[in-house]
Amino acid sequence: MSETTQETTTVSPVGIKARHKRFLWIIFGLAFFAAIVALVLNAFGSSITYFYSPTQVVQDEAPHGRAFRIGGMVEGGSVVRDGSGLTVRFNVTDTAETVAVVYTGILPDLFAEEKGVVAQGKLDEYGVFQATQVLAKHDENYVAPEVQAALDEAHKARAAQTLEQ
Amino acid sequence: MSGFKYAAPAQFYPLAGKMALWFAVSAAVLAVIGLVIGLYVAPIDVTQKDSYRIIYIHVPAAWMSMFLYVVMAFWSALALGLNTRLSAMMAQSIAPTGALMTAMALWTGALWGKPTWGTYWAWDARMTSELILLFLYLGIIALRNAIDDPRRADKACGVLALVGVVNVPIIYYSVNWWNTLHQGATIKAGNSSIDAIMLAGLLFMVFAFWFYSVAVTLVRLRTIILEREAGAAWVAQLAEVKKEGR
Amino acid sequence: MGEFFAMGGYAFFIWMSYGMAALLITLEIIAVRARRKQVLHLIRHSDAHESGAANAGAQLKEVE
Repeated sequence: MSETTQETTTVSPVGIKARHKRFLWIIFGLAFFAAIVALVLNAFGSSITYFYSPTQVVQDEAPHGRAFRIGGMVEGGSVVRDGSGLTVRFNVTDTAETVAVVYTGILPDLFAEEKGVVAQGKLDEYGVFQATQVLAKHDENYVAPEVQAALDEAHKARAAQTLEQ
Repeated sequence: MSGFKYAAPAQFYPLAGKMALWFAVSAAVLAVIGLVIGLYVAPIDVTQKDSYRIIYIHVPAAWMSMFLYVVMAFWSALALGLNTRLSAMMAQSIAPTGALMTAMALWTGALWGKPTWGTYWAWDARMTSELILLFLYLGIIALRNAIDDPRRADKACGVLALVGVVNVPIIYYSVNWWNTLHQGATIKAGNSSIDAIMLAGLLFMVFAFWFYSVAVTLVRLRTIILEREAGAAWVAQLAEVKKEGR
Repeated sequence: MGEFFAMGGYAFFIWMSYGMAALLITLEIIAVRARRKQVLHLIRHSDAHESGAANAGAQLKEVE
């Protein structure tokens, strides 16, 4: 029985702290609520669109004088590296329109021709996009190497067949 | 009457115990199979190489973060509408696991984004709305702890949960509605754009996460039932209350 | 074996992801079990258990 009373007394100090704890929880709650409101307002204030397509840029829908993002495909055969290898020029296309991009810096591993890309920066007076950051946008397809090899093989065979005919 | 048999906390308590054990064991088995497939058996992805293997926890965690919120909102609505005790307790038991799944989805997403996109974080619609989901869960938990009276806490948290449910379709469809850095959905009804063995591993992990969530939520629910029914006669009759240990 | 853990050069990203997942799940299981033990302990040692008063509920709320 003495053990029981001992246990109850060890509990009471926690009980005293309960009021302080509740106050802390209210602070936490208000902080989270403020964060939600800030994020939602920010999303509506700026655009929910993360990037603009080349067509939107050509049609003057992208912002002027301030940084924005442009997204699309890296046009095949358009990637040119300068002597130092750090500055890269390439074209971003959405098949309808194309915008030239210049970027100095490290490119992500998945950056490749005919793959998705998102670049942040500004348009200069010549209509060239001066990028400060380049991100790779990959697709939602996951393919095993053997399957890809088989697909390539089949593609080659079909091409050869059409040449023969 | 029989349909309402388990609507009473006293009746549901022992059933939840049995179910929790079953779901926990199943989750462990599924996770082992899923991890072996995902980390070892499945080949690399052509473009992303080994980095894509984060999918086996990222996608299950992200799905559970949204699914658990909808389930929590459902029980909250039922509790508000019908004034049932058990559904309010169910909603209460889900929030911490939902928050955990959301945090896991954000963390693994950041670690997946760096090697593939080139950045840990981007303020695109998918990521921002998932971050809002985390704050919603944490807000609901904070609100629960700030209110002394459990019945009043049920109502306040229920209203917040229901208001926040609009965020779930926004998360899910954000990649279709707006231009985002995040790619579209891989697994769609009908045709999924993923290799068969990769899909198998992913599905094992999805069910493992699902069953884990059910198990841990049921154990938490049992504790919540005990807390809130502490004065009831049936609680005093429980073997675990009578005996020392366990 | 070393090749498996190297994950084709992505070891940091893979194992930080899986490690955090394992850590979070372990912590949640520990927390849930600890809370159950604490609640059972309080119910067992509250006056409610002996006298049948609704004392335990009030006590539990304090702890929370």
